[in-house]
Amino acid sequence: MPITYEIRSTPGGRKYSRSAAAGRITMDDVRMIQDAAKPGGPMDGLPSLTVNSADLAIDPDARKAFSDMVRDVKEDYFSAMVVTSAPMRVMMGFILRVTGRAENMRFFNDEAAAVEWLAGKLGG
Amino acid sequence: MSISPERINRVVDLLTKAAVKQYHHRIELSPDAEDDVFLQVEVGLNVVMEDLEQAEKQREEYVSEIQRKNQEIADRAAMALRELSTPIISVWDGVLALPIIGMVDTVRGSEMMEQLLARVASDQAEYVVIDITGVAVVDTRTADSFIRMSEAVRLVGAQCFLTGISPAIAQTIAQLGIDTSRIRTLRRLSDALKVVFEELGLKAAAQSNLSK
Repeated sequence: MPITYEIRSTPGGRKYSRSAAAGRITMDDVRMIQDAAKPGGPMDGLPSLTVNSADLAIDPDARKAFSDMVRDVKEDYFSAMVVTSAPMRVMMGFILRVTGRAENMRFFNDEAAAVEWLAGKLGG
Repeated sequence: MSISPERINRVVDLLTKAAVKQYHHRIELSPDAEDDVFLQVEVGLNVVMEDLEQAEKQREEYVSEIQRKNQEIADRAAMALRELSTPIISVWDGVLALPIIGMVDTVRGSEMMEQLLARVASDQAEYVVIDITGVAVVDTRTADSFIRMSEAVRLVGAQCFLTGISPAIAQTIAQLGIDTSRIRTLRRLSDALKVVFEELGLKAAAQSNLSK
């Protein structure tokens, strides 16, 4: 699968979901994430950290579905995205900008900085 | 901020491709491309092209699906029309009637003959009455197809009556100059059926006498 996820903890012991995305993301991948984020699912209510590979591409349908997902998240939801590719960062920026929910989401060039930011937001 | 002419040209090139519906093109962007404001234009155009490509693909699939369904409907309608245009009625055991209505062109004529002969064979019909009262307009080719149909029925072993011949059709048949002496013609469909039933009655009587 182009997206894999696991549950990790910040140095202060706060849980977050860590996803890694590579290749072409399709609606199947979005459905997998939607299922995991459902009430009772492993990612339910957890802040997220996503590491996107430089070769990442997102199908138009998947892009729209991600945008809808972000629009529906709670006010105190935090998401850190590691994006090394500038074009992909712009693309992610489009998805976030259209949702109007970009304030709790940040882009990073490396994972350590992303975890540090997330830990700061979660209080440890 | 200054944008290099090459980057502007790439955007113009892509817009040119979009103008002729070549939506599969993209601006090549390296992962380590310069992260400036113009990159948003370049990525944005790629996103639009990707969406247009997908929309065009879906449109083509819809059009192809609609065309396939239209063809199915047309095929069913043509089949129904063929069946309706050759209403072969089994009026009695071994007796078929074919009342023809409307114009008969070469295609309809040959389809009628094909279906009628198949039915004569499958029903083991002894008599066929072709009634052309409902045929208003005939040309020599149409008239010829009635004659050939009657001949063909006779060749497969059934007796054929041609009824409802209007004066105009009679004239056209006469102009063809072919021998119609072996075709039994009567004024009305009912006249032919009367003859058929009489002949069947005679046969039944003869069979009855033989069995005594």
